[in-house]
Amino acid sequence: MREWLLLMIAVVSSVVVAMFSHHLHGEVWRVLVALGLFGAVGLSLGSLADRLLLWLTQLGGGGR
Amino acid sequence: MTEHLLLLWLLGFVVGVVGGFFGFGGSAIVTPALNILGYPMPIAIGTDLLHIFGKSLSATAKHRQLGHLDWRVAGLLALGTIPGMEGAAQLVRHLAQAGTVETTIRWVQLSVLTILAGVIVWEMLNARNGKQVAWRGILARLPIPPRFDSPVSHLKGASVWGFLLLGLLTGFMAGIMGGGGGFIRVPAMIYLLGIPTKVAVGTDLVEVLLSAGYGAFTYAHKGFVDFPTALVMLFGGALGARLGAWATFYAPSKQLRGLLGLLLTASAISVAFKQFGIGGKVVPLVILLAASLGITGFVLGVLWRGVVKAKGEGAVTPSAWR
Repeated sequence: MREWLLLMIAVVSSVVVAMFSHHLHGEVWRVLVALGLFGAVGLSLGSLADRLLLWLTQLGGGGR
Repeated sequence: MTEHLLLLWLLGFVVGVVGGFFGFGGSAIVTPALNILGYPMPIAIGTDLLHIFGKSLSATAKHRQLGHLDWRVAGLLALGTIPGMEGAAQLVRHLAQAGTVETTIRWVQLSVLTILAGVIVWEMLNARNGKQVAWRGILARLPIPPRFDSPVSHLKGASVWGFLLLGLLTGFMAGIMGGGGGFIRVPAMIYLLGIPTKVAVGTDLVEVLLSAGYGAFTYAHKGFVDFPTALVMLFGGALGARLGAWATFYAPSKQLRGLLGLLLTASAISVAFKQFGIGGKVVPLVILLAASLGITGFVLGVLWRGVVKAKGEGAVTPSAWR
């Protein structure tokens, strides 16, 4: 469940960045929004990386 | 950008693993790489800084989970870093007016990287012979109050001034050499402040996060960021940085310092090639990328074996990691 939430945060933040990339500079609030979106992508992808590795090691015979 | 999608992702991933493992931002590799791929220098710097901000957030969160973060030390170093960087910017401005900025900076880079790599190798050889480096932690032991304790870094009665001074010095050097300065600050924290290697790595990422955050803000404000490129690199970087940070949990500190020495040696060779005009722009970058790629493979191997072993022992991860 949490994985889907993280994936959704990463996807939505990335789509917003991609769609509005030409508007994310020039004014302080726009730049702060950009930093927030990049922070959200970084943190959510990082947490997903943890889960991915645990899953991969399970596949690789590391599970109990 | 579309023709370079995979390359940008891979660049982000490799530098992310190395950065998360050593506590660096990786601007020494990414900025010139983007420049070679055709991005103008201000856009290359701004784009790199924004992707460093996102990925160092991911790595810092992991180091916090692992208990490798010392907020007191990070705060004191940051206080010294800001005036240090400002002083360096003034010096660089004077050097630029004198027309000697490029050569001077490269010689400083070459000297600092060679000394740092030499110190690490020398310390490791000493450790192999069972000898301790007598001056390790010398700045933390300065006989000037006020003093503070930090259980995370195993510090007792450490002088606040030693930390401010180190922040000032490393900020000054980073300001001259460019980038966030992690490759100077991490060894300096280990040897001059006596901070445990893994805590030095995690704590340095806070400094990287602050400087990249500020840098990204100011570059984006001026329109010097390619957001889609930064995003693609962040897809690789956030994954890589997280895995690199996690690998520090399983890598022995001595091994981490040895790999750091290897990376600094490769950086010194790369700068020497640039200084003496060998191989143009590409060969020095290839040397750094090859070293990073080799270290990435090694780090992922350490992480894989560590997680598999921990799972086998039923000590997979603390509940917070799940």
